[in-house]
Amino acid sequence: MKSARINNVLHPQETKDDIIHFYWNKKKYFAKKGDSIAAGLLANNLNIIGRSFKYHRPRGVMSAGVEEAGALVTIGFGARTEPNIRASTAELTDGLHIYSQNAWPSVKFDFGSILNFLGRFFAAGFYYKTFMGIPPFEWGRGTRIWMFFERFIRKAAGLGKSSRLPDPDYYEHLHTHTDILVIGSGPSGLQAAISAAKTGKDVLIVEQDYIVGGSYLNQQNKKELEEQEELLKNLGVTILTRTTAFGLYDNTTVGLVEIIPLEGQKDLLKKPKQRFNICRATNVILATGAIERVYAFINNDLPGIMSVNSARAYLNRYGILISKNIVISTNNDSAYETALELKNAGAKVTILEIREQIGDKLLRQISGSGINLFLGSGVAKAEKGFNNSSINKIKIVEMTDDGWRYAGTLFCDCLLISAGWSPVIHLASHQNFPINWDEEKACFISFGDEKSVFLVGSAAGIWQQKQCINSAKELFKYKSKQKYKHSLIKGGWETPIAPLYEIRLASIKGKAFVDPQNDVTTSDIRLAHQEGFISVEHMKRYTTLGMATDQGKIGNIIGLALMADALNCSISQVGVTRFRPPYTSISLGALAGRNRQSHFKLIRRTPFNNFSLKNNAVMINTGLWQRPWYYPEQSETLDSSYRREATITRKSIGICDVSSLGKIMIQGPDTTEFINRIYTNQFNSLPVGKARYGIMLRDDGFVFDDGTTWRLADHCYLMTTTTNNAASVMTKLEELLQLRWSNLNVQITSVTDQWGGCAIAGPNSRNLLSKIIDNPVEIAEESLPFMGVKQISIQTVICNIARISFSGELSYEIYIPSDYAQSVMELIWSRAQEFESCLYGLEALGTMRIEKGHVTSAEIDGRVTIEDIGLGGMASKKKDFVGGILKNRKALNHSDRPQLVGIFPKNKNKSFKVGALLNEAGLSKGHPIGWVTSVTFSPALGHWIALGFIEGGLNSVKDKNIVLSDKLRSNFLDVEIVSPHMFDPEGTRLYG
Amino acid sequence: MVKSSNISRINALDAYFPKKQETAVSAEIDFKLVRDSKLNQLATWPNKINEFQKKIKNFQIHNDYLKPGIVCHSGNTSIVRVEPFKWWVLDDYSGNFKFDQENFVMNLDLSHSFVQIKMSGIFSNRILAHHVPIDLREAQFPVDKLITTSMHHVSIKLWRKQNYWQIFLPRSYSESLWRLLSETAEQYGLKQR
Repeated sequence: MKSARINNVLHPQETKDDIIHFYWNKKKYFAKKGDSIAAGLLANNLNIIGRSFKYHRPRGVMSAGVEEAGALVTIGFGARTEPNIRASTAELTDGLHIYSQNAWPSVKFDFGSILNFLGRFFAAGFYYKTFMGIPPFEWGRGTRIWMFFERFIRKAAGLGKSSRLPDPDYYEHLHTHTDILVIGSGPSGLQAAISAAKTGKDVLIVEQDYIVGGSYLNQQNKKELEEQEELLKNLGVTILTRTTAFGLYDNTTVGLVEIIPLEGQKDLLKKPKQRFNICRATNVILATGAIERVYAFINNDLPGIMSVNSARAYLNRYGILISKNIVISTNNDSAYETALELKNAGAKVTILEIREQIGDKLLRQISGSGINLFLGSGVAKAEKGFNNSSINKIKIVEMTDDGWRYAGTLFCDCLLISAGWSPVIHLASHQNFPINWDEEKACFISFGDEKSVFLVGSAAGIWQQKQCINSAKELFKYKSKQKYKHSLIKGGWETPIAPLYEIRLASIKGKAFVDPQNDVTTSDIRLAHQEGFISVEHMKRYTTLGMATDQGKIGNIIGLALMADALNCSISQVGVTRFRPPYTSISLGALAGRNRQSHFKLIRRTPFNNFSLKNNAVMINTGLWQRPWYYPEQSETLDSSYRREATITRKSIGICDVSSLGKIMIQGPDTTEFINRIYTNQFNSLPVGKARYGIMLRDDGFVFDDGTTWRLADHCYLMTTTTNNAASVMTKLEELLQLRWSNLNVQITSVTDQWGGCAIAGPNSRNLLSKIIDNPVEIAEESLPFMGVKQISIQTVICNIARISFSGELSYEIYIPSDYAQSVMELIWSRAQEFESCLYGLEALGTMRIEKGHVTSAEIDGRVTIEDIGLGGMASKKKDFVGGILKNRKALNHSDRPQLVGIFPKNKNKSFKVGALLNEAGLSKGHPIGWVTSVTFSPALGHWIALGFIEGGLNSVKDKNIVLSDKLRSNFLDVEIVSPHMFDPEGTRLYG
Repeated sequence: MVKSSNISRINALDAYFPKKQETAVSAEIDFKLVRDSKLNQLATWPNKINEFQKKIKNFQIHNDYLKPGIVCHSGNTSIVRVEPFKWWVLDDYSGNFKFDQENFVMNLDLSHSFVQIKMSGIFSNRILAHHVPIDLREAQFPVDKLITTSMHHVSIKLWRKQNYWQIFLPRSYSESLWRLLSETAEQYGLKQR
């Protein structure tokens, strides 16, 4: 095969700028702007593009569209390597690096091609059978042999390899809304868009190619296309090129992927590479065209064999004559116009027509043109040249009453096939719209959903261009879909197609391919039938027919026909596999969009975030929140920092950002009743100006969350929740109000972001606050006792303050309006310098709460009851509350349930970690009797301590030796089980 | 309103916007930060809606305030129904809409809960469309409509004004969301400060 540009000099309207260069396997070549990669390669007579998946057979360009199964290449290098790109559709850009795939050492001479001669061992089902284990030695133990051979198989088989480096480009999402979305910009698509726009609707037309036109582009006369484009422009139709509609989803939502052309470094930095566009349209018109089929014969995968329509595209769109000695094998009328155009371009053309007669119109068309026509003929085998991997000659056959008969050899260096057309109904199939086999047209046809999705043109099985355009016009004429559907039953050929899927002669041996991308042969299909995989879905999975990047766009129908033949039934009885999105392969990057790296998970920042960072905080992500972990001084580590912070807080003052606690404002005349039902303890006696610690249960009686709730006014409470459970509590309260207690006049609103929360703890905390608030009397012991709540002002900023303590020290929590929080904190911190003071983070907070035996989500993990954490006394017996009934279940009240305890190592120099198990000495095997939930070094006690759970609680292990075992870290030590209130159990420090 | 003391009101996005806002507006895309905003929430209940309406009548506001998401105006103050029984009162600096009657309406100051950004320019719809799934065409989303939608799974509010969009971002998420928005806007000509 010798392909070349017909006129290799520039056209008058072209300039030198229209010449671009590219690298094929590192060698430089030239092409023209607007070329596809395949066009660029063919213009340089590069015909062997890659090696096949399994047998490493040489493969060339087979098409000019998305159905391409042979010319898959890798483009780019380094982190921007993109494998498995269809050369037939990818735009060739200046300086592009293109590489062949699956070949070593070169695509022309590939060692892997030895597998072609071992083909009989690699038939369908090879992996399933071989790796079940070599009988009789490995019955049922197949994985070992697979583990050994896997690396070799993976090296030998496959397509391109992607880069292991992080993708340096970025991608994004877009949401589009339109009245009418037209998919495809061929003759019927353009007409549909024009007709739709004339009705005054918003119209969006998408085209997967990088220019508009569809099959217009393959024609010599482009005047009609230019006129239609002008009309579209005037009507204000939005056109998106390089955009593939890859999936049709519910409610006419269409997934589009748009490839953004990037020019230069500046674009790389600013523009996304691809855009995932989620389009919601009122109506969708599928003008997706049809794909030309081939048929199976021996060696039908050789380079130099392609579809008739693709040769036309290379001729008329790119100015490339595919060969000077061409044979066309066809069974329908569509090939004749191309034959004439190729002939006029200077090629010798021979037509092998399967049909024994054709219409007068076609005969007149070619008569006198010099084209040789053989009626009732086809191809049984293609053969390559002696020192060439491309096609060199074909064995032709004639039709007889009994079948086919060998009729001789014909030399040629290009074979074009047209065995009919398959409408692109993939998107209709995604939505499970009815798909029926049309015997007359020999293809599957769908009419959409008869409501909002319609098919026009060749996508609806109409072949003649005029009729395609009419179908689009008629769509807007008919109000009734039934009438429209009826009007589509037109558009066959002058002489009906002679369905053809395979030519086989018993005397001619070799591989005939059904799916060239996966190296699936006709023998594989027959083997599947022989072994009982007769359902199309089973056949697909057994043979891999229709998988990989082309998804069987060429081979599916042949496979179905062969199975129908084997089953002695019709194709309609065999059925078709349901196509699934995506229609063509799309990158995962496009689906992820910007939701990666720093945008993968958004960060919530507290109002003190900048203050904390300025003061050297090391931050930690807790859920979505970013919180200060510890504030190291000079060369301090985490350990030394948190021990210092906890020590200074207990000694004088510590200040901590507690803004991430959930804050819910509960308002309304029935709020007291509402809260009383939520918490286990009494809240109807809580006076205004007081806070109370509360536990809430799930409906099943287990502990849900805890926190303090402040009564700010008669009908207004501020509930605080744990950071982890803020959203869950809010959702639960909404559910209760909307579904169970809709008669209560209560409104709830999250105010987490409204207030910055700051805890000031330590014996000197009151002294510090006295220097800051506008009226220090307000925080005197008698004005603000323990659990007291009130509004104060700090330099006229109104804040809420509560005297509550998580650390066990005299402590206050101040809630400052968020925009003022940083300034107020700076003021507090500047005045705190007059005392021994520190900022403390989450680690020191954890240390002090463990010392006090206060629980958090480490202990309240969804499996504990209120009794388990030692707060059973908070469950009121005088009222009902959520979870109150099911908490009384027998199983939740066993005396041997694990209960909260404190844990000391007997050797005070020893440390241990969370997750360790507790057992009785000598009984370390089997189920443990307890576990450790929180561990810290206690600066107050001078050794490591922990909280955990143990069966029966403290009393049950009083006289027992308990061993802590951490088998993962090989740490085993004797421990003492103590009360969880390990520091200041009387709570005297709370009062200063 | 900024306090006269040492305590200043600091917007969560202050660092990204110059204090003295540039007056020249880019035709392509421009963002401005709304500082010192005032936002009060009024909440009521189905059995109290009549009393609520009577009270609101005093302000001679168009009855559309009862429709969800339609912003109505009374002087410089705007009111909009954001949930079935919750209204937002925006820019009520004089406190006219603050009611004391706790039995039929509850006030709640949310002025610090949201960061408000104004976005204008010919690409503003396009930039929003990268992040929110709703139909932004003017016929579907006219001036003075306010809706709740989501950006990166975070609830935000969008208000279409005459020449720009006003976006309400939850304060704690605002920096992350702003980075996302401004990175998207770079391709349309936004220069990061």
